[in-house]
Amino acid sequence: MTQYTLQAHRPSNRCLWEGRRVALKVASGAGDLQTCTGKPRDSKMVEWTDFERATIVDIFSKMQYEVVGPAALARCLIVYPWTQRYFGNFGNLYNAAAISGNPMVAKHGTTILHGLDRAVKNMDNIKATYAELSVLHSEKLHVDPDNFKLLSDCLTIVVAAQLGKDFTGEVQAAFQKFLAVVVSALGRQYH
Amino acid sequence: MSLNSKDKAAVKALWGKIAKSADVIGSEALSRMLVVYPQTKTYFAHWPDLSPGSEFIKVQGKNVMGGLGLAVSKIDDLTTGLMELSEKHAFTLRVDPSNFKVLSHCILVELATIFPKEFTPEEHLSYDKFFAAVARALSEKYR
Repeated sequence: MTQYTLQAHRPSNRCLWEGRRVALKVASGAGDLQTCTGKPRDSKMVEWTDFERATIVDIFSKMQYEVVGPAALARCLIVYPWTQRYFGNFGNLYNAAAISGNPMVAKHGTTILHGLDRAVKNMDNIKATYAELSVLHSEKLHVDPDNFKLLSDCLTIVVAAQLGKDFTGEVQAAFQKFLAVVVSALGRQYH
Repeated sequence: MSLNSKDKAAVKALWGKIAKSADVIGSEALSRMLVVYPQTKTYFAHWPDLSPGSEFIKVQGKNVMGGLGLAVSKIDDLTTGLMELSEKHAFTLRVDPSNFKVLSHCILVELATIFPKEFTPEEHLSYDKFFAAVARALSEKYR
């Protein structure tokens, strides 16, 4: 969901029209939509319960990065083929088997998954932690932020397959909340 | 993004396995949805016990999977095949169609936990398309 708001009388050099990625859907108890407004007033931190923190740390401490990362990225490229637009130089992506066996996909999948480590280590300031990466994805890579959600859905499915019945509803809620916060942070610097 | 013959074959292939544990999958997916997306509880406010394993969840889960089984059998013409269910969701239940996506996601997650090997990326692709097609058919009568 994207909303564009007119920001008038900003005490800065900013352009009046600012595109903002809205609707961080927090998949936990409150389930309220949280809206990102202007930067000076947007200081509300994401609150994590002890269970959520412990769950995220636990999942990543047991993570098999070289299995899950490649599987998640490959799945994304297969299930949502339009995401292949960002990987024109990755060689053979012609079918599911080619994608799953592609070494560049595997390497990049691992890289992306390790990219989540910094969020795990800085859960109280994910927004600032990803500011640079957000600029990179916007200015250099030109990735549509909707793709972040697609990849995080695929990552959820792969982790679910790994954990089986241990991936309870509560664990899923915590994991999806974590990914939603990361996705929001990555989309933050787009303009 | 309509279903091609490959998708239909993939859906039917895995459905054979799913049908054997349909009741469990349905109630687990529903419980999962109520926990991960608490706003969906608003549709069940008239029912006191929404805890996992409750009678209500079991019955509802069975209903949902029954509906999906019907959809599999009518996969060649979902709009016609699901017309009655569409009317029910549109006029009686009045479920916001965005929730179809949410429940679909929870069923996909449940399938991944129960069938980690069989739920390959190709199966995932076909089921994602299938659930989207079912959601479209269910939304048909809304307006």
